[in-house]
Amino acid sequence: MDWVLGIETSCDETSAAVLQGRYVRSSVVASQADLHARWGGVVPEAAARQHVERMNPVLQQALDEAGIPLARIEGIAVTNRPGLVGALVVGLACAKALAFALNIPFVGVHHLEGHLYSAFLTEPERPIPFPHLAMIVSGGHTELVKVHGHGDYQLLGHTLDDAAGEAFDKVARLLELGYPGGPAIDRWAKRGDPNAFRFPRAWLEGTHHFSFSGLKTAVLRTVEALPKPLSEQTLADLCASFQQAVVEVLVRKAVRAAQAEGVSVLTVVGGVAANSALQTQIREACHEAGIEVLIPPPRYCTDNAAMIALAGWFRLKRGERDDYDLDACASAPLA
Amino acid sequence: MYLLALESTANLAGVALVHSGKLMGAVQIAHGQNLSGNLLHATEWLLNRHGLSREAIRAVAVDVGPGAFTGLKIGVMIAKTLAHALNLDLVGVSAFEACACVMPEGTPTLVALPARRDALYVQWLLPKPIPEPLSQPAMVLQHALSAWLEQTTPAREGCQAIGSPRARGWLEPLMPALRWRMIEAPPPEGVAQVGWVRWQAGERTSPFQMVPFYLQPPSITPPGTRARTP
Repeated sequence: MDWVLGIETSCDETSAAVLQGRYVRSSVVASQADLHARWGGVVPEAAARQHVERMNPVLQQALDEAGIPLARIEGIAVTNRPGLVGALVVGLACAKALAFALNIPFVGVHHLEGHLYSAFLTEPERPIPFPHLAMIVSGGHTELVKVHGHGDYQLLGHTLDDAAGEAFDKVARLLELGYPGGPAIDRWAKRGDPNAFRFPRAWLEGTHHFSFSGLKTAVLRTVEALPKPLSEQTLADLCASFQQAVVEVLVRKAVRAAQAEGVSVLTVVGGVAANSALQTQIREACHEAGIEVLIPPPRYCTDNAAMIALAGWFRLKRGERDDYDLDACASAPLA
Repeated sequence: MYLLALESTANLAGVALVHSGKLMGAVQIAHGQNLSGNLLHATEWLLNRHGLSREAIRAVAVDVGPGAFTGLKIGVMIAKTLAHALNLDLVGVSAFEACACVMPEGTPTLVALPARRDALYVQWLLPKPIPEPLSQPAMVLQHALSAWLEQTTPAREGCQAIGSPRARGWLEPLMPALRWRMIEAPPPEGVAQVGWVRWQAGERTSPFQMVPFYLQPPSITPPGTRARTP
């Protein structure tokens, strides 16, 4: 099993990637962010329709950039859970039809398993270190996972309410900074004082869980009490202070979990892993704690098919196969 | 010269096979959850029954709608991908054409298919190898059907209709003279027949261009707002 095609359509990115073993030969992502920005968030039916329009051109572009014909593909990896069902079924239908047409095997991949592998896309020569700890931080997830081996995952902690990225999006909407909220807050925060406002941190001591809904409400109450319109400096201070509250919790809880589990490698993956403050602070904290931290480049933090292809390649190599009865699931635990 | 036809716009997954203009076979299966899998299972079964490999297929026709949004996307996605991967000719057929083409020729035909809970997809056509439209395709709310019929009906007498039980239940009181044929889903053999004639006439759609015929925009509830009811 050499050439593997990855397909990812779980939310609002239509993506295809070609891997040769562990080497990424192409990774194409057609983002719909501009389309959904006008609605302030992802509209599931609109996202699914876009996938139907873009899937074949994106697939062909991935093949062209990899420089191989479709006939060379030996296996397919496709995200089949969790996500927007209407969006997932489009990528899944494409994968099954390709498997049928080319008479090659395919496997369904858990979207979060893809994120777990995203930290290892840029170093294909390096054996994947086991066990390691992964912090998945995105618009839909905030989870600490101990990775014992390929396909062997232990969920240590998760968010009890909002995901970290969801908190970013909601605060950005409150402050009218546009969608997606994460990059907007990151930009504003660079000009603000992270100590200007004292927002609460939910530590949930004795557990590896997270909670961000209280923080989101605290920002709301603070904004309500401020004179309008907010000055640019106040806006920047709010962003910096909110971001600092999220980052501090993520950094400290990740390092503590790594120490408690005795692992020496931490990966930080998912869209929020692209946040500049999180990157700086988690690198510092891990350096002090003697933990190696791996963060994928921004193109592999957000949803992409390369990570799905890599997770699928390991599964296909182990002989795993799915059949046409594989279905899409809106929610599914990783472990 | 085999053409494969796919139909998935209602709650049955339909597949048909045509060879040199002759219908070789058609299957419809209740698909439950796994529509894409059942379309491929049915295709495989039909090919095996005729001792054919997938390389024998030279063209694929697909019902592009209107119909159930998810079914439509899956059917179109599978057809486009088969065409893309096997370098097949791709032909789109509307759900209205697929239904009208199985009715007796020369009689104005109303096609009425379920849309949302309160509406139907409707069009008048004249059945022919490629049915001729006698009205624009439309989604019409139940309470507006009477006015729509008023404007579009080609003749008060001698018309026929094909459609779902709900469509008949709503339309029969408004137009008792219609002779009905009841269907659960557009017939895959209709997709196959119209698709074959189009294909022979040299019509093709690129798998990079084909989009489903939704006839309805996506309903949008912006995040953070809830649709309020009085």
